[in-house]
Amino acid sequence: MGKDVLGGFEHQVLLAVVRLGEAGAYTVPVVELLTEASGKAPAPAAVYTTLRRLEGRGLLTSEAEPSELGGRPRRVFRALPAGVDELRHSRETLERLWAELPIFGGAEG
Amino acid sequence: MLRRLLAVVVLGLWLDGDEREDVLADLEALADGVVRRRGKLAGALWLGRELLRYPRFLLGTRSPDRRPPSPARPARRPGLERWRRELRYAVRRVRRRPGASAVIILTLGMGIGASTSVFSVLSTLVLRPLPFDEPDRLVRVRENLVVQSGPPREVTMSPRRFEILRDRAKSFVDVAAARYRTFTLGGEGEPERVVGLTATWSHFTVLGVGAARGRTFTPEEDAPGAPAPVAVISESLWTRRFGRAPTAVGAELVIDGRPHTVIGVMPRGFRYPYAGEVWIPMGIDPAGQDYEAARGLNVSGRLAPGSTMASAREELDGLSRALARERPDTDDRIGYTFKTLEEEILEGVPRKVAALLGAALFVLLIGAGNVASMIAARLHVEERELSLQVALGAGQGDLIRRVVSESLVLGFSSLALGLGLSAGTVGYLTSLSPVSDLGPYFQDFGVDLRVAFFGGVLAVGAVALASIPSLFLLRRRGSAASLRRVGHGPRRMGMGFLDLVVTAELAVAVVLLTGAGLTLQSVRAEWGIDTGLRPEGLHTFSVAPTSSGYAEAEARVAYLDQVLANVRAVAGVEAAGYTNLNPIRSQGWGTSVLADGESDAVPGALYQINHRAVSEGYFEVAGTGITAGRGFGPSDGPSDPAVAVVSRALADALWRGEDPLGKRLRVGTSDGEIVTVVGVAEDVKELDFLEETWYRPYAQTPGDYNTLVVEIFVRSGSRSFLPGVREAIRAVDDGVPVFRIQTMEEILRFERRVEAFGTLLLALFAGMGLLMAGVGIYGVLSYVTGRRTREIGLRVALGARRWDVMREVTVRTLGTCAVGLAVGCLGAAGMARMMESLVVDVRAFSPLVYGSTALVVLAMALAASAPPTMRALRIHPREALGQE
Repeated sequence: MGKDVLGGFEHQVLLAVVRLGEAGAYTVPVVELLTEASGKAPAPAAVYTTLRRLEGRGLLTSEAEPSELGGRPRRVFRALPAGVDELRHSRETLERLWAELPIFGGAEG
Repeated sequence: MLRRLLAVVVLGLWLDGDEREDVLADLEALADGVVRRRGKLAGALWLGRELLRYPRFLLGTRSPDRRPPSPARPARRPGLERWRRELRYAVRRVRRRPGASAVIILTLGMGIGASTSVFSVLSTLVLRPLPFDEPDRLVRVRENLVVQSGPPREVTMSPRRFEILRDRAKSFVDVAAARYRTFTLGGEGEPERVVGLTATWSHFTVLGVGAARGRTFTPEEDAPGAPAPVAVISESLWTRRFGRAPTAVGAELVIDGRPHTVIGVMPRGFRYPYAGEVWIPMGIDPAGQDYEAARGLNVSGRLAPGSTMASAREELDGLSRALARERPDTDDRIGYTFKTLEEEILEGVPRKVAALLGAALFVLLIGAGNVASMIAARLHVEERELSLQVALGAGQGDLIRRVVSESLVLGFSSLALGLGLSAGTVGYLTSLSPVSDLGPYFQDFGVDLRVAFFGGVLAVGAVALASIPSLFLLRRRGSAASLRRVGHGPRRMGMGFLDLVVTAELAVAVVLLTGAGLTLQSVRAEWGIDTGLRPEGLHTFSVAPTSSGYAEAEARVAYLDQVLANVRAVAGVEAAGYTNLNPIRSQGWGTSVLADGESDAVPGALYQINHRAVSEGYFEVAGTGITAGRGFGPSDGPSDPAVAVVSRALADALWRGEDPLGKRLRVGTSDGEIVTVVGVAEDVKELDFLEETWYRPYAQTPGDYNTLVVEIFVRSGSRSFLPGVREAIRAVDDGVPVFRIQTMEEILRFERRVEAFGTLLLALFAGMGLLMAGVGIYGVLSYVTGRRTREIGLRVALGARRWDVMREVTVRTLGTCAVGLAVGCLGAAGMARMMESLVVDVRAFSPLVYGSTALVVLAMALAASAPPTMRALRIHPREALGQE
C-alpha cells in the first residue's frame, strides 16, 4: 500500500489500467475509456503523467513491448498487486463515506 | 517533421527519446479522432495545445490532483540532474515574466526565422544536384569574341564552329547544340504559339535525360533533309494538347504548317537551356546559309572520363589557336570558352542569396545584443535574490548554471518560433521570388533537418553571445563583500557593458542600413530613370507570320505593313510600329560590322553590335529620341539604298566626335554589304546587352530566323482599345497567332524582379535591424535612467536645472551614438568593398547613403532615448529620494 491516498483522477486512471488488463494500457486507450465513462475527455498530458506517477509509487509496472504492426516498441503499463490493493482500499474508503450519506441512496455492498 | 521538432523542443527537457516518441504517437493517434470529427485544422490545433500541456503536468505546476510528481526514474548522473532542475526553474522564471520573455523570444525568433528562411533556399541551391546525369561533368561551351574595347564577349556558337568542336575536341564524350525557336502549332481552333528548340540528337544523351514516354531523336532523324519530320514534346504540352493520352506518341502534330510525328514526351522539369515545349531535330546542313554566320547555338558538353576542367580548357585553348592559324580571316578573333552547367544555371544566384543571409544574420546579431543587455539588466534587478542565494551558500557554478539555463530556455523557444516562422513563410517567399524560376530544377524549398540544425546552431550561438557578458558580470562580483552593497545603486556596475552593447548594435545597424542603401542606389541607377524608352502607355503584341505562305520575306513585310495600317486605324491608338526584338526583354541578336575602309584583318576592327529590324515609325512609338538625322520612313523599302540608324554609343565608338551622318558601314567583312548611316538614336539601356546598337529597316533585312517573330508596339493612354487592336491584327490573317499581349511596364517589372525582390528583402532586414536597435537603445536607456532616478532627483532637489540634466543625458547618448556610427561606417566601408567584388555593381563610397544612414540612426537613437529621459526628469525629488 502506498503511503499516500489515491487522488480522484489517479483512482480513475488506475481503474482504467486494471480494466484494460493483460492487453496493457497506455495513454490512448486510457483516454478513450475515461472519455466513454465520464463523457469528458481528459488531457493526454494528465493521463501520461499520472501513469508515470503511479508507476513511481509502485502501483503500476511498465515495459517496452513490440507493437503488433511491427513498428517501434512502445511502453505499456499493467497494474501490480499493490495497485489492486490500493484500489480496493480506496473503494472501501469511498463506500464507507458514501454509506453515511443515505440521501444519495447509499451503497449496499 | 515539424511536429517531431516541436516535440523535441517542448519535451526535450523532461523526456528521453523513446518516451518522446510514445507521447507523440499517443497524441497523433488521438488527434486523428479530432481530425475525423472536426477537420484538419482543428486536429492540428488540438495536437499543439495538448503537446504544450505536457511541460506543465511534468513540472507538477499543474496536476489533476495537485500533487508534485515523484521522479519517474532515479537520476543517472547527479550533475545532469542538477542541470535538469535548473532548467525547470529557468522555465518557471521565464514564464513569470511573460512580457519581457516574449520580447526576447520574438526578437531572437525573428532573427532566426529570417536567417533560416534564407538559408533553406541557399542550402537547396548549393547542395542539391541538378536533375541531370552526373551534372558535375556537364559544361556549357560558348565562343569568346575579341572586340575593340573591353574584355572579350561570350557569345553563342555558329553551326560550323559547333561541328569543329564536335569533331576535334577530345575532352568531351560528346557535345550537343540547341537553338531557341518559337513554333506555331496548327490543328483545330486558334493556332498556338509555343517556345521550343531545334536540337541535335545528342542534346538528350549529353544531358543524360531520356524521354518519359517514347524516345528522343536518332542520328538519322537529325540529318539534314531527313524525310520524316519528328518532334519531342514537353509534359506540359502533352497534357494541354493530348490530355495525357498514351496515344500521343505516334500522333501527328502540325508545326509551322508541316505535319510532324510525336516520338516522345520529356519528363516534367526538363528545361535546359530554355523552358521549351517542343523539340525538333536541328539537322545542321553545311550547305545552309546560316552555317557560318548565324550564331545562336547553345552548346553543352559532357567531359570524357579522365578529362578535367583544366585539361579541357587547355585543349580548347589549343584548338582556338589552331583554328586562328587555319582560317585567320574568320577565326582569329574567336576562341572557345566554357563553364560548368551549374554556374551557367545558377548565374551567381547563390552568391546573392548568401549576401542576403549575411544581412539576416546581422539582424540576428542585433537581436542577440538586445537579449544580452536585457539579461544583464535583469541580473541587476534580481540582485537581492542573487545575494540571498550566495549568502545561503550558492557557489559560482550555481550562478553560472542559472544564467546559462535561462539563456537555453529562451534560445530554444526562439528556435521553435523561428523555425515555425520560416516553415510558414519560405514556401510563400520562394513562390514570389525569382528563385521560383529555378523551381523545376530544385523542388521542396523548406525547413528540413539541415535547416533545423542550422537554426539550432544560430540559436545556441546567439544565446551564448547574449549570456557571456552576464557571466562576466557574475564573475566580477563573486565576493560576498561586493554583494553587501547590493541594492544601493552601484551605478557604475555594468554600465560600461551596456554602453558597449548599444554601441555594437548601432554599428551593426549602420552596416545593415548602408548595405541596403548602397544596393538600393545601385539598383536604381541600373534601372536608370531614363531607359531611352518611354514604357508608360506602351503595349506590345507579338505576331509570328511563319506558316508556309510567309516563307518569302516580301510576304512577311506586306503582311506587317497591312497590320500596321489596320492598327493605326483603331480608335485610341496614338502611334504604332514594330521591331523584331524588344530591347527590354532579356534577348539579343548580334551582328558584326566595321567602318567602311577599315580592314577586317586588323584585330578589333570588327564590332559586335545589337541588330534590330524595325518599322517606319518605330522610334516615335517607342519613345527613343532621334538626336541627329532621321528615323525610317516609307522610302526605306527593300529596293531603296541600305540605311541604318545607329545608337549614340555606337557612333561614339566608331567615329569619336565626327559627324556620323552619311558614314558607311560594312556588314561582317571588308567586302560585305554597305549600309549608310542616316540617323543617330538615343542609347537604350538594355538589360544585359550591349549599348552599341544599329537599327535597320525591317524591309531591308534579309530573312533570318531572328526576324520571324515581330513585336508590334502600340502607344495609347487606355487599355480599353486592346481587344480592338487584337481584332485589327487578326483581320489581316487569322491564321497568324497573336500572343504575349503585355504592357511595357509589365515586362520591365518582370525583367527587374530579381533585383526588386532581393532589394525588398534587404530593405526589410535593414528595417528590422533598425527597429531592433531602437528597441535595444530604448531598453538600455530606460534601465540606466531608471537606476539613476535617485541621483537625478537628488541633483534636481539640490538645485540643478532640468535642462542641464537633460543635456548631460543627451550628450551621453550622442557620445555612444557617435562611437557606434564611426565603427559602423568603418564596417560598412569594408562590407561595401566586399559587395563590390562579390554581389552587385555597388559604388563603395556614396556620401548620400552614408549621410542619410547616419541621420536616420541618430534620429532613431534620440527618439528612443527621449521617453526614458523625460520620465526621469518628471519625477519629483521627494519621490526620487523616497525610493529607498
